Amino acid sequence: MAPAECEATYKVLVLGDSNVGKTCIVHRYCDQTYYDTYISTIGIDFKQKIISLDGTPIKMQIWDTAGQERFRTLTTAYYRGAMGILLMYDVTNQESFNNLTYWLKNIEENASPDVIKVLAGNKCDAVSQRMVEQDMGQKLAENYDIPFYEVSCKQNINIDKIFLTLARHIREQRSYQQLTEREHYDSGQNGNITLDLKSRILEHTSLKEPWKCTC
Amino acid sequence: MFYVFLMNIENGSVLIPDLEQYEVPPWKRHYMVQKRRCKINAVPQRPLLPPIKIVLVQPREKECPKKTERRQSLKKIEISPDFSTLLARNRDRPLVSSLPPPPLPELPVVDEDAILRDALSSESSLNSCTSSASSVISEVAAPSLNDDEQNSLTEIPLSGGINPRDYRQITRDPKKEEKQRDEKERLFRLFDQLLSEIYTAEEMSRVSRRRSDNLLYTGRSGNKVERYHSHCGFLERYRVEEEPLRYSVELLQKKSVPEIERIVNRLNLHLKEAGDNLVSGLEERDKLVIENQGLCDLITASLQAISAKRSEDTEMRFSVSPGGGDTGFSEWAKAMKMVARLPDGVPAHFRKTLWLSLADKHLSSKNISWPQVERSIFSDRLNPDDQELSVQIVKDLHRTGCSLFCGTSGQHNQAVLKRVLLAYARWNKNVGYCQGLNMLAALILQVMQGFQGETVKVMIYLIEGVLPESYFADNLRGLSVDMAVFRDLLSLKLPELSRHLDNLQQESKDSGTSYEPPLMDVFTMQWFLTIFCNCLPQQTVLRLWDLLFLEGDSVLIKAALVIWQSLAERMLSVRSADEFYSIMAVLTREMMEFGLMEANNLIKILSPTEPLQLGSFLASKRREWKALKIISSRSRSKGE
Repeated sequence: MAPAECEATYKVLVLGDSNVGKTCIVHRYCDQTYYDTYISTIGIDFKQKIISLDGTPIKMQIWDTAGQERFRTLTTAYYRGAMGILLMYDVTNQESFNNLTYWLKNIEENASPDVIKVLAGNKCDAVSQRMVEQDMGQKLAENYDIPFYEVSCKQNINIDKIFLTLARHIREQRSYQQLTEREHYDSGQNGNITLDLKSRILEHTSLKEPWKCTC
Repeated sequence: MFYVFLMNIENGSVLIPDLEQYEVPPWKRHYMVQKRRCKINAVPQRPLLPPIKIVLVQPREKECPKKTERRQSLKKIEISPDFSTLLARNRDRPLVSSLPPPPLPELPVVDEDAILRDALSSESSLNSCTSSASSVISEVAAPSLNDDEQNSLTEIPLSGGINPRDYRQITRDPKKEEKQRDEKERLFRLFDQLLSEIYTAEEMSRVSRRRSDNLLYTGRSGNKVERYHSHCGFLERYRVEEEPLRYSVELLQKKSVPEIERIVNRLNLHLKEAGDNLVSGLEERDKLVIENQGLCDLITASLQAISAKRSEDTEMRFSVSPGGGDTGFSEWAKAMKMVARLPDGVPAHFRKTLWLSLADKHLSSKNISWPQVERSIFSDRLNPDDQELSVQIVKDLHRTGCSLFCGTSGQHNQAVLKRVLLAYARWNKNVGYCQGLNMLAALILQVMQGFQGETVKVMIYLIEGVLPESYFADNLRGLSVDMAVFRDLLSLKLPELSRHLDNLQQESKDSGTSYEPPLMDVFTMQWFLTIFCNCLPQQTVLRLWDLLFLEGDSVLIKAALVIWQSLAERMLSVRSADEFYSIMAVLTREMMEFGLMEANNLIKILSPTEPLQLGSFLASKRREWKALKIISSRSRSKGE
């Protein structure tokens, strides 16, 4: 649990309509358990898991949100800090799929522009109740250029995989960011204000805690 | 199969102690009764019950001429709990141990002459009986018995149902007779015990109801006897009227004058009896009212004695339900506030009354006529919005965190919860349904013992009368205002902790790793929205709710303050936002499972005599933040 043991903390936000299985996937992933009944998420909640990403210990801090529309003003405050977003729909619920465009718009407005997104269609075990075909999800994901998986919390299908994909992408994104920032830093001090600020921070942290991941 | 009755010899009414499973047959017409006396030595000299006889009757089943058929047609008797324990005891021990064994009655011989003899001997020995109670057992011959039947005491095998006139036709079999005798002997003992238990029970109820001692009842016999009716309601309930209390005109026209006179006499007696009962009932009620008042005064005095003895404490007045008018209500509410702060708080069985009284007061202060409202919000006719509301409500019915609403056994409760949530949404269209209301409604429903109308009343009071405006509506503005107000309060009351948490939040921003909203918001949001119902153990939650209902929304903020105060020390050692969340994840789980502290301590810390003018502080801060939030939401919508 001690933060020093982990190379970094990746913040992941889980979004999607109410009852698509957001809490469920978080519990499945973090506690390796599945219950039929959970408590409806009120506002926002979080869970953590330490994973080994190709040998590097990483802490996944997963933020679980309430799906109901009226909670959105309260939850958008948590979009900005997220490095990854797991967007979910329920394959047995057409409405939850239709709302994805709304969610993507919401993410675009509130989250950081380089946030990593992954799309998940949950409850793929419920074959008889399926309303949304796999290729529809696939198509949408391709349109937005984000990875897509159909998952099942009940039967533990693709759960670890999807979070691992998310973590890998976050890592890539961060090392890329680090690189570009360093380039800017090296290439001179004429960057814009934000970059300037960022690089100063970088300097500050790297001086203070040279052993810690500075990305 | 046979039936057991207790018959009041004085008036011929039939008393059946707690035997609802028994079918009461029109026994007078259909059953032949053989009489037999049982002495009850153990009964006190003067019985409080009128003399009782035990009547054992058996259906005469003409339509089943063959024994085997008859037996098959008999249903197994479900013996009531009292009886089965009695039987079980009897099976192990032949006689009552605590009481001197009653002398065994003469064994009956299945023979009409013997029956007559028995009857005679019972008459003659009646005078020598120490008790004036005489129990008479009657039974009909048992033509066949076999071993396995004997073993089963729940179905005492006195099968047969043959009219005594047929006795002579029964072939005699000595072995069978012996078995019969054993069986009967056992039965007599059983009834001896039954009688003595009835008397003992009567004696006990008399002792426990001392105030009824002087109430007299004029029975049909004209003698004044102890008013046993009020004592042994369980017997009285089963009194069977022999004759109807209503007669049709045609029926009366057919009757002769003496018959009608008899009916008139009988009805007069009934009337007198009813009148007497009414008078004594009213007298008893008056006494109880006075006694109740005395007890309430006593409690008021005790509460005042332990109160802080401020001037307003003298205004409290304890009563079970609020007195009339606004003064009566405020006197009652003040007393209840004291009760809620007593070491054990409001007793669990009283909580429903308390919450409902407060909710009713809220509704009446808003001039809401509840029956009409209730009809419309619970109506089966669908409203235009119902479809959309139901979709969201149904998603959350099983997600209340309360096991009563889970699985197949919770289906009924889920249906009730759905009606409640829909009814509230219809009542307050602005709020409609908000996630989190499912948990609140589930808890209230539990306290209201499943009554949906009452649950909605309390929900209305909670959301509209207690909590600040827009806790669940308008993008939860009221809630986000309170979260901000709480941060202000924390910086005032726990400056060190507040500063530390702010620094952690700022650091993570500065370090560029991530942006953090105020750290404690996650928790405050959950606590306020669910009113702690999924954050603390239920007993603590209920006590907090009692206070919340009685003292208003500041309880919520004070409770949150107490929680952070108790966590402050551990929080101050935390070095990063990351670590803060890690530790809080563990602590919140602990809080839910074990409680933060003993409920009493928590209630005690939430002291009503807050030196800080919390009320006015909250009000002014809320106004400030509300204005800010409105401005920011307007600018946001303009931006869009």
